[in-house]
Amino acid sequence: MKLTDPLTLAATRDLVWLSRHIAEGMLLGMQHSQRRGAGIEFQQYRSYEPGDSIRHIDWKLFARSDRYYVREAEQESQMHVCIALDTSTSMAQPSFIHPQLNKLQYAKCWIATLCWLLHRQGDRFSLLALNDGGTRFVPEGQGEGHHRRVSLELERLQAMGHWPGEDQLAPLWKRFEQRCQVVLVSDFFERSGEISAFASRLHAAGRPCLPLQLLVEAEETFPFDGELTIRDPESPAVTELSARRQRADYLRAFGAAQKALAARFAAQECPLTSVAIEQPLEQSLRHFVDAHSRIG
Amino acid sequence: MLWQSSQWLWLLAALAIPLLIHLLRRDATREITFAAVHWLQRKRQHKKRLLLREKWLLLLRLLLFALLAILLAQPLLQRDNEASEKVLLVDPRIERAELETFLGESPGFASVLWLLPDPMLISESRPQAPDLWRTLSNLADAGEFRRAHILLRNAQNPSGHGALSVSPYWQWHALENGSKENSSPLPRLALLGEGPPWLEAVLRQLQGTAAPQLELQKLTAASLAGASEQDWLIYDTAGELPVALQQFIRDGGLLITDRRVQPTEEIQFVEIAGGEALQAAALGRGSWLRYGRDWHSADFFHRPDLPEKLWQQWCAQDWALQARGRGLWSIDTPPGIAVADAEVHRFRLMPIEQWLLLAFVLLLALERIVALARPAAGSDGHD
Repeated sequence: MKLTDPLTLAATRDLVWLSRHIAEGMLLGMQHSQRRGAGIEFQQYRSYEPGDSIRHIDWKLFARSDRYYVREAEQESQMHVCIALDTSTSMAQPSFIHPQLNKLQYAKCWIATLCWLLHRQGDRFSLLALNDGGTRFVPEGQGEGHHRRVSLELERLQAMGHWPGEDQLAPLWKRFEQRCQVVLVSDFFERSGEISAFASRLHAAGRPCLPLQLLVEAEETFPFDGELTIRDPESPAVTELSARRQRADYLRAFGAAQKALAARFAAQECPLTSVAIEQPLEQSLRHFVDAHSRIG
Repeated sequence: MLWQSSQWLWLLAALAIPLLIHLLRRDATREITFAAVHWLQRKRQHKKRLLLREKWLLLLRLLLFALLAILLAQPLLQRDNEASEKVLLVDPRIERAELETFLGESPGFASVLWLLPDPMLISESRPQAPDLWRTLSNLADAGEFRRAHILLRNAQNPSGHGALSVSPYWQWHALENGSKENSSPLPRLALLGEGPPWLEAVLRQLQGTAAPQLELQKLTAASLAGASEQDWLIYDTAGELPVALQQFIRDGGLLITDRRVQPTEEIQFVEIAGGEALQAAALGRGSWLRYGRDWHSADFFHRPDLPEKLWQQWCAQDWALQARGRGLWSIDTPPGIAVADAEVHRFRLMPIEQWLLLAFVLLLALERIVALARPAAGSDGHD
């Protein structure tokens, strides 16, 4: 399978097509039919095979045709996946290797691809984009049309502001009253644990929160050298420092923070998936799906 | 440290170039947006304004510039020289066979050098004979040759201008001791060409007197004239003065001509008082005595008192005194000023260019390696 390269992700103007392309690529060789089984919506008859429950035999049809037919209905998935995307300014962090690609763009492609996968397995999904400048919401839905809707909404998103405050989050909680799983896509760079608090609250409410952390490689390796002037995307502060002298301290602090974050999510039985956006999308999605095999 | 061409030392000012470049580059810090800045702020930087990045590279570049300046200025290293008694300085006039004989008689010399202002090994081809007087003066304060043996062709040699400096420790040798010609106090007189008509009359008249007798040597060509063979030379051919005769004067001879001989270059003649239209000019170690008119003319020739007057003057000279005062010195009593030990250059100057050049090339290679190995400042730090 040829993996999608970062420049394609950065340059795409058609999320719908790209996500379908990537997702179909991932699904190659998998069983291509939808799951069918007991349900209300009738889909088809098929001939009885040993092992089928006798209860599913359509006796009226047997009476007509003298053959055993089993009634099949489209299996209705009860799963609703709500994808929560952090669109604060820090998500605009570009990769230092491919400056055209930033975290938000990667997240958009990633979410659209996930939605197509969900669509292909018949799940419902909704989108919640969070920043303090205004929350965008695409209600739950199903099918190709809904995937297009979500993709178009994703294309419109822009990174700005911060993670919303408590009062801004309050009206959102009613969206999680129904049973759902939440996929939380963020960089998890938080000032005072606000994103973790959001995830804990979801967890406490019995809504599993599956975290995806997007990083750029430079955040994990800090490859800089010489004098740096560093701008914080979410605050006006400017830090000037000598990279070489700071590297060890930074790597230690960053590693500790990552470890703490992972431990927090592990305690909620939702392992954290950390992904560098330089990594191919298929790979990161596969990791994520493997980590939460309930979806796959 | 001594410099052969110290004017290049101003190039040391170029040391400011790499320093300036580094100082300017230091200000050009890279600006990035980095969302994970949170973990960088744990420790505040104490920022030093005069922080120099890449100190090693700067140091290498400074060294390179300094080396370049030093290379161009050509330093001379002082090396201590022990005065050796086993050094023999040989007068280049000495034939190789004569030298072999001498060395056979007195062995034990560690090194044998030609006697030159900058002595060369004897194995080199024979150089032009230098001015002995000046050469010795040059070598007098060289520590290396302080106690050298000096082998000269003649024990007696013409003196030069100025003071002769000698080392009191020099040991003198000569192949020929004494001088046969110089036994006679009278000047050796030679005639080139036919000679003026008055000369014969003068000589004839002189023979009848008690005055010292003149011996007139007759030369056939100007190239035969030499200051070591003749003292006075009478030249009587109109026209320009031949080069060989100019050399004869410079080597210490006295040339006597009349007006018709013209110098090839501008020579300042001085009138000698006495109303006899006599002119003299100093050239090198010798002089040119010129009669201001034509001595073939009748008014010169037909003067009955002329020979008498001449020989009165001739006889009045103390020829023995003049012979002693003739510019000659002997190795038995070397004249001149003994150079004191304190003034001796104990050190020899050695050029050290090749080492500097080697160091320069090595440093250049090192600088290139360091400069190319570091990540480019403008890149993303990955490539």
